[in-house]
Amino acid sequence: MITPQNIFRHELIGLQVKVHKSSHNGFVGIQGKVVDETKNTITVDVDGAEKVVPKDVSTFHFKLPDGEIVEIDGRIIVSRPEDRIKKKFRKYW
Amino acid sequence: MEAKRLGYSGVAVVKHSDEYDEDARDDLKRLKQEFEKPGFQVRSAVELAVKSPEDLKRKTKKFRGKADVLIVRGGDLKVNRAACEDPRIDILSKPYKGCRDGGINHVLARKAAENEVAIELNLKYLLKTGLRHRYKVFNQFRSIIKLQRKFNFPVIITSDATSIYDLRTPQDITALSQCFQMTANEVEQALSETPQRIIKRNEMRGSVVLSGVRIVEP
Repeated sequence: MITPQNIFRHELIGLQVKVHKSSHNGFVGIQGKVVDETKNTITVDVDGAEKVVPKDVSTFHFKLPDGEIVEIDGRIIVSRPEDRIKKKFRKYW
Repeated sequence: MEAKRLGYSGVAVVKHSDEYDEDARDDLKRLKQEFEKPGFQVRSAVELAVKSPEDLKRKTKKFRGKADVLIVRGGDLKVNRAACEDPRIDILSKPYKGCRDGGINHVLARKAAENEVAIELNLKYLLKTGLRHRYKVFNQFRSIIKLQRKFNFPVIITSDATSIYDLRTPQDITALSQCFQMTANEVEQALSETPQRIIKRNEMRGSVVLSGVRIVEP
């Protein structure tokens, strides 16, 4: 089950995503399904065209299967997907 | 009401952590009902008096959900440091108490900027200090301002008022703050932007899972 509490440790491929903010304006507004992920980038499928978005300069809105929308600052998910599960995250805010 | 006449758009009612119980909360509710109007806000605040970093952690956990603003009474270097490193804390009050310098150094300043812990300049502390020792207070404030310019942590000016006679108008404070070399712009930030940010952050707190992750739409 993907919830807002564990999404930053979870598999992102298959989720609907929208680039909410980015230091490069060309990335803002890219919307589609995540098809691939590397340490520094997320590949988004936009109507057949694949766009590669760098993580560390962007803020994403992920849509969870149950309809929730979660905003994630790309900087905290910079790591390989298989390593993210054991990455330490700051607990308090 | 006096605060509104002087031109403020809100007050935070501060209670000591030992006194913050059911009665105090009822009192606050009553105050809120009585005075909260469009254009004027009443917020609850808790001042934590702690002896050690462990104590601070425990009390932060206890009071974070209960009050709008969390204030830590500083003075001890270890407590200052623990407070600056905790993002759940809003304001570090009087870090310079009992110190010769400002109580803040470059390490704390960097941490405070990272965790958005506001450093307090207490006007009552300045005005109630005897004339003979007031130069020390100016020195302390000045050293904080100096660090603030470099590290950009939030600074907040508070009245610490126990009666209406402790309140000053923003114009007065602006004028007074020239004495510790704050520009009018910085005073405006300290008086209005920092409190706004604290309130906003507190409202967002429920939706934030951890730093960088936020629920936008449930």
